[in-house]
Amino acid sequence: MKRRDFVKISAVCGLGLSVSPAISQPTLASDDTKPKTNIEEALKYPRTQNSLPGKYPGKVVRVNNPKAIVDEKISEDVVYQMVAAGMLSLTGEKNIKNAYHKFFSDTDRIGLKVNPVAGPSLSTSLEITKAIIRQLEESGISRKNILIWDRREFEMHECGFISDNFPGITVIGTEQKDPSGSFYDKDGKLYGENMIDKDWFYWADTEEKYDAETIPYMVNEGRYSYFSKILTQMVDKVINIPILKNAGASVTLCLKNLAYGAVSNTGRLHKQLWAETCAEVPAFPPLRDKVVLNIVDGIKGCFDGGPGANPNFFCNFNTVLIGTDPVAVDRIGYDIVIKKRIDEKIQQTDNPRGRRFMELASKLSLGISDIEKINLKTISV
Amino acid sequence: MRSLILIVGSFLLSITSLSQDFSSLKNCKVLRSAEFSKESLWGHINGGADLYLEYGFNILHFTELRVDSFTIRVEDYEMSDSESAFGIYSISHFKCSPLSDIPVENCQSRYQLQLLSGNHYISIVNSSGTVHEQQIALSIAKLLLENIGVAHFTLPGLFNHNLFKDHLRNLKLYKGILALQNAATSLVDYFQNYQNYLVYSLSIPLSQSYLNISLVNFVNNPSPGDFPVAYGFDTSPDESFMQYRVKISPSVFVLVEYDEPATLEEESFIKNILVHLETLEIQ
Repeated sequence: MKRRDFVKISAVCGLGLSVSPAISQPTLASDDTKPKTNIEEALKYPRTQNSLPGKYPGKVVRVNNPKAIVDEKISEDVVYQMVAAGMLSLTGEKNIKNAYHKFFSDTDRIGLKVNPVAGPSLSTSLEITKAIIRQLEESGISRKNILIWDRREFEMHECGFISDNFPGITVIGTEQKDPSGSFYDKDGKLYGENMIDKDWFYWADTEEKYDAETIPYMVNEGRYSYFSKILTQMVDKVINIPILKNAGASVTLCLKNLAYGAVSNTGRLHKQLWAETCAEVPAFPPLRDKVVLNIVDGIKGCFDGGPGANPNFFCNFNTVLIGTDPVAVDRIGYDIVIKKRIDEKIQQTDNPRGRRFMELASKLSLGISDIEKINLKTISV
Repeated sequence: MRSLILIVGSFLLSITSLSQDFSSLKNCKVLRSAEFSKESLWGHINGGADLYLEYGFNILHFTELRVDSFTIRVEDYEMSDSESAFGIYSISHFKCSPLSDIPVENCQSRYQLQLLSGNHYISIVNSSGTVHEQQIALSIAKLLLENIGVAHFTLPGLFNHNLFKDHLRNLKLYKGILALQNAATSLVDYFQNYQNYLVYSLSIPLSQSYLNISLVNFVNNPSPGDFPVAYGFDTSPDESFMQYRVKISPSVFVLVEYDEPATLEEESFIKNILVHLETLEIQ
């Protein structure tokens, strides 16, 4: 169902859905001191067969290989084997083609959501991205149907997501610069404004004023965060490929990569609504019904300093996490990162606050956050 | 009356911002340079900006250099004061070693050299961790210090004791809830409802656990609400089981937490710390 269709139905039924914040305020947040959001609106959209947590709720495959990095370079071949082994284990299939066809048809337009926000030293690696693309191609999916995306196109370029490295594949971001380095077109309009879909938004009762330098990175101010057209119009399915990083005493993995990577005007959401945003934005149909696979690049990651890049805290986890359930995958990744933080004496104990966003996401039926209910399969290749 | 030497922020040196000039470096080309204010830092480092803003941030001088064939990223964070710079430095360095030929607090790892001078926190990051790149980073550091000057940070007097000398590189300074959530989760509950505080926290490893000593200073807030009552600082000193809480002044508190000592040596060490706290005098 398209959003426009849903709005029409809602109006007829008197649900009162509209873009007006005055009549679309949510009630889900248990903490009354938190700004309200429009999460209730998201929950009214009927779920589809593709809705999160996808085909394998609560199932996570962890693939380890201590030789994934050789001479400080990630081995594309080893990573390819790791992802392939994980896909076969997740799906129970005997070959890669069948494994990928559990999720994709040959005509699906597939978006690979990467995370280059910390720069070249701590980005979703080119190697894992190439490995996934190789496997998609081996499954019969044409390169022309594959797209690599994130918020900031120029950050993707900086990290090597360019046509030279990915010939025949579109690389695109919501926030864009032209070759002269300007965020604005000849009419003075932000390129990013053309890339947001005002039919889909996350509304939250909080806002922040951005200065002239910041607004190109936010695209818009106010109480609305609009979904990117890349997600709403240019892809049918998404493979989410975050990198294994901490965010303070929590993690920035599947849910965070989706939530903060898919919408505009995120600056206002960090302070008061970090956990809520991580959980609630993926509950909206453009993400909930399109993200069919999560593959965490844990070959190289960090256990402190994240989500930025502080080389003191980089480490080679030599692992890949795969699942359809982003909450369960995040929960396993969380344990890996927090254990490392405790081992390295960055923190002394786990703090339940760090898991709150996963618990919220679980309440929204996006996946399983209870570690006791997660089916983790660990394999070595 | 028991008290404490508080030299916290005793110097208010705020080194003037200078644009960076790398022209004297051999084979050096500036690839990119930019300055980010507190309003625009978000565009540069995204959500990571919030932590710098919480500590108190003025401007970031960012430069990407090509020196010989190496790419080096230089970030000079000009914080709002020396405490803010120390705070960011304290939570940013890890498993690194000081270079003796740099005249300020510094820490070098293979890929990064970090410096603290006055209200500047400086990070110099190289790409491949070679010895040559580390030498380049050292040259850059010296050049930057020529421009911004050398200024040392003075720690609170509480920590000026032999008991702590081997552990001071682990001393952290937190100025808000974000920093506490990042690195001192056990302290978060204390400060959830308060603002304008400095928390110096030193975690000393024991054989099977830790001893944590925290100095809390409610800055410009002589009467920090119900904090003393809520957390047992109103009757000082309060030596509960495995905890020691003392109110040094209406706005300054010390909290010591530890587990059962595993050895007689550890027990003695803990006792000496508590004695040290008992005997602090105003100076």
